[in-house]
Amino acid sequence: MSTLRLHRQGEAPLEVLQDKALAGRDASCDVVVVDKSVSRRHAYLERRGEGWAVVDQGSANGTFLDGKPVTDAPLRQGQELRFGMVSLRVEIESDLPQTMMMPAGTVEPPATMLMPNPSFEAPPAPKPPVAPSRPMPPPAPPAPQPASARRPAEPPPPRALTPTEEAAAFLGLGPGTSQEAVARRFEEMSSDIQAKVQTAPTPALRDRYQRNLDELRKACETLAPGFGGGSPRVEDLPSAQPSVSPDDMDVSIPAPLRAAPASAAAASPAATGAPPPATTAIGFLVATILALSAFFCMSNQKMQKTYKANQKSSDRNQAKAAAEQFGAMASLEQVGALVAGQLKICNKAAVPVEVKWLGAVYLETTASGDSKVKSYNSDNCRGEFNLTLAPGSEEKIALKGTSEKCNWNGQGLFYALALKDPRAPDSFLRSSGTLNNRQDCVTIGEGL
Amino acid sequence: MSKPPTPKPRPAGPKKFGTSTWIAAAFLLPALATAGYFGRNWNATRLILAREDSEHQERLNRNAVLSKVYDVLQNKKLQVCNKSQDTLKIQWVAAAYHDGKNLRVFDSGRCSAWQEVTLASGDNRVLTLTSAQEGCNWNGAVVYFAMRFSRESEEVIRHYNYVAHYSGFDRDCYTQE
Repeated sequence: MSTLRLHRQGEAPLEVLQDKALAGRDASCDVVVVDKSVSRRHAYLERRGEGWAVVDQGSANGTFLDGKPVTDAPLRQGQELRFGMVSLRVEIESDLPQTMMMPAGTVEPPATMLMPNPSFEAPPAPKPPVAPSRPMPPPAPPAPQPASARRPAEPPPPRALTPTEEAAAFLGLGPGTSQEAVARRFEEMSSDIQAKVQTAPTPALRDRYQRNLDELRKACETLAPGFGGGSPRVEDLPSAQPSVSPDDMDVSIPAPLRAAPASAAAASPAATGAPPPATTAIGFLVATILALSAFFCMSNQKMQKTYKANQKSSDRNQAKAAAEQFGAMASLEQVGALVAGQLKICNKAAVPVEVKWLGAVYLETTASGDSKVKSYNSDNCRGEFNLTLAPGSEEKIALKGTSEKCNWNGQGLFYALALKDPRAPDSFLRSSGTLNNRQDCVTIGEGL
Repeated sequence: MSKPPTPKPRPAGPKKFGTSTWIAAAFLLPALATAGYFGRNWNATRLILAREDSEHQERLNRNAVLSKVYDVLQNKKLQVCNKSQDTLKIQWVAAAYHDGKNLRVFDSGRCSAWQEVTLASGDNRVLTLTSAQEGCNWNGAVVYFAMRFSRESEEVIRHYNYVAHYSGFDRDCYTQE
């Protein structure tokens, strides 16, 4: 029989007593390595014949031998075994009479420390098996390994332990321990696990811790029936090896959670109840968009009410009706039908031409800004109207009289005039036309 | 001596994405679609309302201008009512009217088909002229007009020249009393 000792610089060496010991950060491990880089159930240390081997249990930060990552490798004297960031020197002694575990050192967290199970006492020599209160199932078979990972020559399996021995090994007590000692041991070990059950971040972990607690309770019940620690909830009895394999443990925990450090997990949004920042940002965005939608919806309804009110508005309807009525005038307005033009008479005759009568229609803008249509009639100004145009002359008409009706500046919309015919003094030549926007000459006397 | 490989890095800090992130993101698309739908409707209504307001204001402004044009340039029928005791003889008439696009002028002096119109006392007539001559086919439409007419009694014949904006006078009639 060989003994495996693990040395860490500045720490007391640790001897592995079991044929198969679980190393990890979890308090329920056979070899507890308290360091954040070490998984809760990191690796098994197995006795194989006269030697030892390490089997990684899917740890997050890996198991290394002399710097090389390994999953299942034999241990040799003087090798450097590293769990995550924790380096241990391997010492194997082949002539020790029995495997034993050394007491823990006194290094306090948070410094990395290596310690055995708390309050561990070396088990006494095995006694004849005691019949358990209930039949115990055989120990859980080891997790299947890929064929390529198996060693070509498997060592013979270790001797099967009785349920009482397994329970005693699980608790680190002797098979004949009193109920009080078992109860104390239960209190010691269960307090930590119960705390973990209370603070487990996921339901899967909570179930796992609860099963560990149940196994602890069953082990105590097996070792000292009626020890007072409560009745177990499940039927199968505990074994010295954890019934939950590390593989299952790792699978049950989501990969991101396993990769996250414990402190980070504790401070994660799920633990604190706060959503991730991205959720907050997207949620805020969604809320903003929904608020915008609500604004659009309500504003749209309000505008549609306004639109309907406008449709029924008498003011608008009157304006529309008027616009339809005035529609025909739009083109006339565009051609300047009400824009006054200047009356300019051009005498094209070779003789003087006398204008006997002149009439015009014009717009007069009142002081209030309104327009009023007025007319000028030279018959109303008989003593004052006297207009004779010399041959070839051009004259802008602007008439001034004593009375208001005889004043006209020549700006008008329509004109009509009567010329005395030089060829027949008793007859008149008449002409008429529009003046709106007109700038050219009104020609008279052509052909005379 | 070879340097030992560094362990796998661990993510630090809280998770940036989680299930809640994806749930929130799942709401993002419907929210965007809803906002887009309501936004389009809102914008369409806003544009319609703005266009209505703009058109109404423009209509009011146009109406203000066109009402003057309408009041002045409305075509009427040139009707002469003789309510005098004399016989009314219209030798010449000129009328400005519009055809909807431009102002036009009818001048009887340029139309060979025009004949003096005689209205006995109490008679009334819409002045028109039907002729193939250019500018001489006139249905009596009038905005402005000028006339030379005479009132003949047994004692005297008086001649008048008249020009005005035709507003119908008495019962849409140019009335001589």
